[in-house]
Amino acid sequence: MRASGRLAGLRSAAHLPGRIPGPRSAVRFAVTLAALAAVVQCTIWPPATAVIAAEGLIILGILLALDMPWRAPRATMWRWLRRQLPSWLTGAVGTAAVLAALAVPAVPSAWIAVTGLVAVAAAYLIAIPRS
Amino acid sequence: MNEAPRAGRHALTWRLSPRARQLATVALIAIAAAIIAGRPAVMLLAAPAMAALAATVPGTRPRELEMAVTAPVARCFEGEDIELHVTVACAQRLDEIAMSLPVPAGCELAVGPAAQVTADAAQMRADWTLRAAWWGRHRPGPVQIRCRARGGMWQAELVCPIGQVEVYPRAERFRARLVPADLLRRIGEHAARAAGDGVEFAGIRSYTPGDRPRDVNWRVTARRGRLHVNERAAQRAADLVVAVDGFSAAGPPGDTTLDLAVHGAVALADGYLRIGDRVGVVLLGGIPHWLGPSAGHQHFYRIAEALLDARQDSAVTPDMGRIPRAALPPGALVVVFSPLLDKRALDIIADLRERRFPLVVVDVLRHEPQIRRRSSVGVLALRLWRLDRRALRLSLTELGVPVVTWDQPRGPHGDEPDVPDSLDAALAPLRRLPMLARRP
Repeated sequence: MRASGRLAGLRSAAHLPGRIPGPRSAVRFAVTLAALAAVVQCTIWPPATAVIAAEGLIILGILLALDMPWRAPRATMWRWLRRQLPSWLTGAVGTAAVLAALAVPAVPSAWIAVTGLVAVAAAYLIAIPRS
Repeated sequence: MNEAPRAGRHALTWRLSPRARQLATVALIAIAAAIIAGRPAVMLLAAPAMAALAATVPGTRPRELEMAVTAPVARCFEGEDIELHVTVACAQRLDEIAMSLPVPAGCELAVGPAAQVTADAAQMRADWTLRAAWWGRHRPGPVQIRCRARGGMWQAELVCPIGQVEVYPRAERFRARLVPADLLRRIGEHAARAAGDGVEFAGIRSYTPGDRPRDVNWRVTARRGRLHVNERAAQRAADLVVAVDGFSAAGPPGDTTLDLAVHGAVALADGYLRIGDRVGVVLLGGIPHWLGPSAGHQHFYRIAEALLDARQDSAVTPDMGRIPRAALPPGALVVVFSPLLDKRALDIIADLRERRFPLVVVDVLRHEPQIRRRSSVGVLALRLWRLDRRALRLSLTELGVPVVTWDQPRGPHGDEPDVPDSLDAALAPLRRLPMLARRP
């Protein structure tokens, strides 16, 4: 009894309350930084298009897998993975669409570039609530 | 549980999950990089994230969640298990439902992980078994519930309070042997000074008309040539008041002087109530609480519940004069469990002695001050501290207050045994004291 009480005391001192499983914010931040580093690397030293496409899908896979309930039973994990499959497949379809678009020759234009940039920034600020 | 758990239907407030924000950030940076650097191929890094977001962000999500909490036990003793079941259900299947139970200090998780999760389900049941490690009022939870839907891009969180669990201190086996000089007129188990119909032999006297023939002591009668009879002591009940010093609590959590004092108090209460004596309790510390002496098994639970209030910090000095006569009946044996660290407790002990209560102090300090190894100043300070403690005990003994130490204090490095001596053994030397000794 006394030993168990001491254990409980140690646990309370170590601040280990029951926490909903998921990556800590520091881990999430580190993974985001790694993904951004890949973006910068592809921008400065662009590899082959197929490699970039593969990198994009790998980044998506890693970001999806970050929330995996690692300590859950195996059946729960499989169900969870199956549930992520549509997201990853949609990403693959998106990659294929961009690959197809890149195959079409286009004339570069500064106006198109600026408009695209503003549209992306507006979409991010408006669509993603800040709560 | 004392507080009604939050069961029923609850509206869900959906927000974008951290995953959605992360995907959006990566996509935005990749698109910006592609536009600024003029490299359309970099769009391939943004495309999967954007597509995943576009596919899962819109759509319907369940608006409410049905929750049911089952916590059958609101009161228990130390070491007993408390089962908790939380069930949540909603109208449509969710990507993930996760529940987590923060375990309070004083409880430990016996069965089930603190955090439980299920995937691709419309309902979930989480079962936990908590084991009460320390006495006191504990508040497990609240249970945190997180639901994720639409590819994990949306999430809703709920908090479900569980309520309060009262954990009573467990009583050690104790034989009530200390009795005050003045016993009640009620029939009990203790041999009184007066003659009566008990079973305890009290003496021999000459036969008087009316004595029962079965009481004749034939051996003495034959020797003296006159009829002599055996006298027996009356069996009477005693009054006991247990005082718990809650002014200070030294030691690690779950093993403080207050914990030891409370365990001693319940052991005494259980031992005396078991043989029909009346037991009361007085909590010293802050505003004094008391429970007048009473007998019976139910009174043990009243005492155990009253002792839960002992864990309070307060700077108020109690006025023992205000405790009514019913709480401290004259002649009652008063046992004070105290670490003798607070001057207010010492003043109260002196006051009780001046009021001529038969008084016993049980020193419950088990931990000596920690000193650094190989510190000569520390060793000297520890020696001074020990001398000071010895002087304090001696001054109380000179006042006529016997002081016993329950469980020898551990050394500064914790090298002594961890198992406390039984309270019976600690109080055994007092049975020889005239004030408290059994009569005759």
